[in-house]
Amino acid sequence: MSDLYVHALTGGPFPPFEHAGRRIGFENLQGVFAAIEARSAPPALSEAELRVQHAIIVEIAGRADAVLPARFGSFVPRAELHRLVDLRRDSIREALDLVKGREQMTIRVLGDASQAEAALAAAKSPATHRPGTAYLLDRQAAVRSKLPPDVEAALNDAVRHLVVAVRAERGEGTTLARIYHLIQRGSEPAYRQALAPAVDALSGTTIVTTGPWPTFAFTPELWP
Amino acid sequence: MKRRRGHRSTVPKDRPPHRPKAPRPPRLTRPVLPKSVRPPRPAPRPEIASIIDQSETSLVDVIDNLLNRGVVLNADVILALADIDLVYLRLSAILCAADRVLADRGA
Repeated sequence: MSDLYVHALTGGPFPPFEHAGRRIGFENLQGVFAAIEARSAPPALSEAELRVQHAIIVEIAGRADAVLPARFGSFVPRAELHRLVDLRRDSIREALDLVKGREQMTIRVLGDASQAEAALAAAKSPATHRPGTAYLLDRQAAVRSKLPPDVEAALNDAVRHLVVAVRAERGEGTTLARIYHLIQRGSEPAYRQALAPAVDALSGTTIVTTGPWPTFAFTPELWP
Repeated sequence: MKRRRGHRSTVPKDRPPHRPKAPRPPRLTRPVLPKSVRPPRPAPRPEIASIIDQSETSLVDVIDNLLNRGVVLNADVILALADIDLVYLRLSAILCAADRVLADRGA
């Protein structure tokens, strides 16, 4: 018996469709729907597979106005999928409401990580802070982005009137941070226009903006 | 003294009587903003942005979206590259609050 490979959760059912020879159907999970593919084994990771799966999720987002994309490798028995969704139904519905009619823009801030780390180190110098404060600053630096706060604020302020929700996370390597903005579908041109002056003003920092994407960064945590 | 040439008309004598012109529709003109309020030209964007920021899906975004984001729905995640399993993460290992696991120890 084949299990289900889940591409996304959606707010409604849609007719099955085919993409690259793969048939995508919709499983009713008592009001929440899963865009699924019957498979005997999960796909192996490869660039080609990632691109196909990404394209499938984009196609699902083109049909459904509320989509919660699934992470790569979401291969589950049917009963397990029902159980998991049943367990987190409220969180899923809340997230579907948030992303309904919306799309994601991604901002990557590239720069010299060593300079950013030095600035953070200076800010939490033990000479200026007592041990407890230094510890808390360490913890804060560990979870916060490597961006100077004014850079993140400038980017968020520029598009605040278009953004419904924001997620930000620390980057790695030369990526100082990633900022995800949830915007109304179709407002990408206005978003880019509003963001451009802020990007131009941040000289010395490279800002890369991509999108619109399905709302990958605005999915709920389903594990207990 | 120069002799002036006679001006010969090319309009036939039996031309139709002069008709008054119909009023022209008002011309639609684009308002010209004074220089002080004209939006500035966008500065050229960094080259890297123009390379990555294309309509076609970039691999960076695909990897970030599918491997780092999205709902985790299954118990097992198998990461493989070129048909060779590199990492096997069993996410279905017990994930629960520490106080539940350690409750009996304190008793």
